[in-house]
Amino acid sequence: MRRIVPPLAVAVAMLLALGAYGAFGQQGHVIGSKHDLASPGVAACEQCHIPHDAYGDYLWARGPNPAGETYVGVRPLCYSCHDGTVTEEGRYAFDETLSQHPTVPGEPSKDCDMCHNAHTPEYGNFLLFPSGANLCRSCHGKAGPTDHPVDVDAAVAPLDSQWNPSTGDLSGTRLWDAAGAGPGNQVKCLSCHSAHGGLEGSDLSTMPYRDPTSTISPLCQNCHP
Amino acid sequence: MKQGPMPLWGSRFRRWIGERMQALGRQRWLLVALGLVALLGLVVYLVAFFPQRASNPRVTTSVFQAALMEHLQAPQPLDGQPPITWNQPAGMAVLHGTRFVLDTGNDRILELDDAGAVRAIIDRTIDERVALQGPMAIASDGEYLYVANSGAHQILVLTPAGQVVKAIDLANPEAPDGVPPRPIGLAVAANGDILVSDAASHRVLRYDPDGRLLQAIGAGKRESGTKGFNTPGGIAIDAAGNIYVVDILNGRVVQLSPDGAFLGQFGELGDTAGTFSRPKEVAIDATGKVYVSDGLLAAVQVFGPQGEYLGFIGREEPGDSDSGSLFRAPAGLKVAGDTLYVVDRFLGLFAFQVLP
Ligand code: HEC
Ligand code: HEC
Ligand code: HEC
Ligand code: HEC
Ligand code: HEC
Ligand code: HEC
Repeated sequence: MRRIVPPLAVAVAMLLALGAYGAFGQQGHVIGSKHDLASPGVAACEQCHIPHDAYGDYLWARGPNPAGETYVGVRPLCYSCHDGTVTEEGRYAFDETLSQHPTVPGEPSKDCDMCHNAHTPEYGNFLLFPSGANLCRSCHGKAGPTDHPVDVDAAVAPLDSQWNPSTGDLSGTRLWDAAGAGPGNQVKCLSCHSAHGGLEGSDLSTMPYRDPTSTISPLCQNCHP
Repeated sequence: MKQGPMPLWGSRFRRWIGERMQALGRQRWLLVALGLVALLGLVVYLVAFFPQRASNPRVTTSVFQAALMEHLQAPQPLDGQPPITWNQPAGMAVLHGTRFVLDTGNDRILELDDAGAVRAIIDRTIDERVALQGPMAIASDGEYLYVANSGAHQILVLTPAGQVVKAIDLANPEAPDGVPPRPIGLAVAANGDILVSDAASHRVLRYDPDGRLLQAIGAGKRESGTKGFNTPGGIAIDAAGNIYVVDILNGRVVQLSPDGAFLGQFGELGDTAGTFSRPKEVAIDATGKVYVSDGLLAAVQVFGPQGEYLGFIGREEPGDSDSGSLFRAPAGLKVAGDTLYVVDRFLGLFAFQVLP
């Protein structure tokens, strides 16, 4: 018996640790976040990890749409709330008339989860990384010497009067930073690009880069008057 | 010799093990533990997932017989007019036999003719007070259209031609933290009272026809049971005046008496027959059957007047529950005679014939 107890204890401890990492780790992030939508008797997790005979890897419901369609994977889950009912925020992420960052629907880490994790509110907007350049550069590589400088102090204040938030930038994302910091912050990828709803055919830029009627670039002019 | 010879492979094997163990010293417990963890993991995996993988038990039972009569992925073009499309439509109303589709993404209402072509567009060019901002629900009382203008925190009452009869500002001093109501569900009672689901305060609000707040049902925060709602959505009223409210995040339909008292409920969060993953809207036909759209199950489930599960609608092969879904994100529902209209946020308007 004495010989059985230590390995069992180790095994139980390891299982508990794994469980805690998997469940409580996530729980710690979700609880109190904008994705904590619990009501008495219905835990926060149940809204996405649908209980009872749920099937699939993560116990959340997926529509019966066949693979290969555009509306598969996590999208139906996200849209089930971000459709104007549970929240009016972010419906634009599903607006087929807007240009969106390319994704591979239904494929893990190539779908919405290439930038978001529904459990981690720390960086704002449930993003995987701190706002701006870090997130984008995790895939797009470091800015080269001929690229526009990023992570530099944005010494110039944007000419907000020229900024039309209804074109391109739909989240009301500030010109500067996805986390919402104002002028005086650093230039980030999202200073010029937007993940959702950039202008059509413009590499997701939030303002027209080229103006057919003049030689001035509206995007650049924002900060370089 | 008292002891017989041991089987050769056994003794060798044991000696071999013994030597290894000794070589490993105290680390052997780690190996044993790892082995145990692997074994336990396998057992847990089998117990937890194997049966489900094998039977894949989602909504798999009771297809409800409903014949698909019409599907408009986009409105038909009107002769000589440029093609027109809707963007994430959320609902539909029928007034004087004419269909009005709430074109949520384009902040307008499209009046359809019988062929499904756009006969008129109701937006601020008709009346500048029709300043729609992400409207989520539409209903009619046989005379006017009622629109939940969600982003503007108001209910608009419109003539079929789109003139504003009344704009009810949902000023609500009781809203917690002064958060203005965000109406996402709507029904008009026989006496003219307007019932509104407020997603901001998790209550169902009752206004008289003049827009005075008469009653607030719910706790003012996310609640469950008989105390309140967690994001009330679609509302419907049956022939007896009872009120059915979809309680989206509690995964149930709540039945209220005509004066707003809790009568009962059916459904729970889940993804099997008769449970809800993300219920959105509710409609009731002349025989008392209750239809509930579910955006995540991609189906419309049907219940009897007492909440008994009757089946579901929305498979490509109407008789085969395992065939793919007709829907992507079914939302708005409307029953007109023996026709059930389903508005899908991505796939447009469906019409089913549902026989009594
Ligand atoms: C807003 C929706 C949402 C909520 C709320 C939510 N989850 Fe998740 N969860 C997801 C999604 C989506 C995935 C799949 C992750 C992926 O594909 O990247 C997931 C995956 C997981 C996983 C698998 C490990 C991983 O990260 O890939 C665990 C464990 C988990 N969730 C635990 C929880 C717990 C515990 C709660 C409650 C405190 C919770 N979740 C609440 C959406 C949610
Ligand atoms: C159960 C409902 C629900 C589901 C499912 C859900 N969300 Fe959310 N989400 C919300 C609510 C509610 C908010 C808060 C909105 C507000 O503040 O009004 C929110 C906020 C957000 C925000 C903005 C957070 C911020 O800091 O402002 C992002 C980004 C987001 N969700 C992404 C996702 C993604 C990606 C998914 C799919 C994996 C998802 N959500 C699934 C309900 C949901
Ligand atoms: C390339 C990275 C990327 C991808 C892919 C992506 N997002 Fe986002 N998302 C962002 C960023 C960055 C923001 C912050 C707002 C902004 O700058 O556009 C955001 C904002 C949001 C918001 C709400 C923000 C608000 O407060 O209005 C929602 C909801 C959301 N995303 C959902 C999704 C869903 C659902 C998908 C998949 C269909 C998705 N996102 C795919 C990067 C991404
Ligand atoms: C998980 C990896 C990943 C992350 C994170 C990511 N991207 Fe991308 N991005 C891609 C891929 C893959 C493509 C498609 C490249 C292609 O098709 O050639 C792409 C394409 C683009 C494009 C070209 C758009 C188009 O329509 O072709 C832009 C602009 C862009 N990304 C900006 C961003 C920004 C801004 C961020 C941060 C908010 C970001 N990306 C984060 C992987 C990523
Ligand atoms: C100062 C504004 C600005 C900043 C900051 C910026 N970009 Fe760009 N980016 C542009 C413009 C302008 C284009 C070209 C648009 C066009 O041709 O219409 C572009 C094009 C792109 C493209 C598509 C073309 C290509 O080179 O593959 C990607 C991807 C991209 N940017 C990623 C990023 C990433 C990642 C960051 C942050 C490290 C970033 N951008 C920062 C302005 C900017
Ligand atoms: C979000 C504000 C912003 C926008 C938009 C912007 N810039 Fe800049 N730009 C800056 C800042 C800040 C600097 C750094 C200034 C400094 O170091 O003095 C900079 C520096 C530069 C430099 C000097 C680079 C170097 O290595 O010294 C050039 C060239 C430039 N920008 C061109 C452009 C062009 C072209 C565009 C349009 C595609 C553009 N910028 C859009 C903020 C912006």
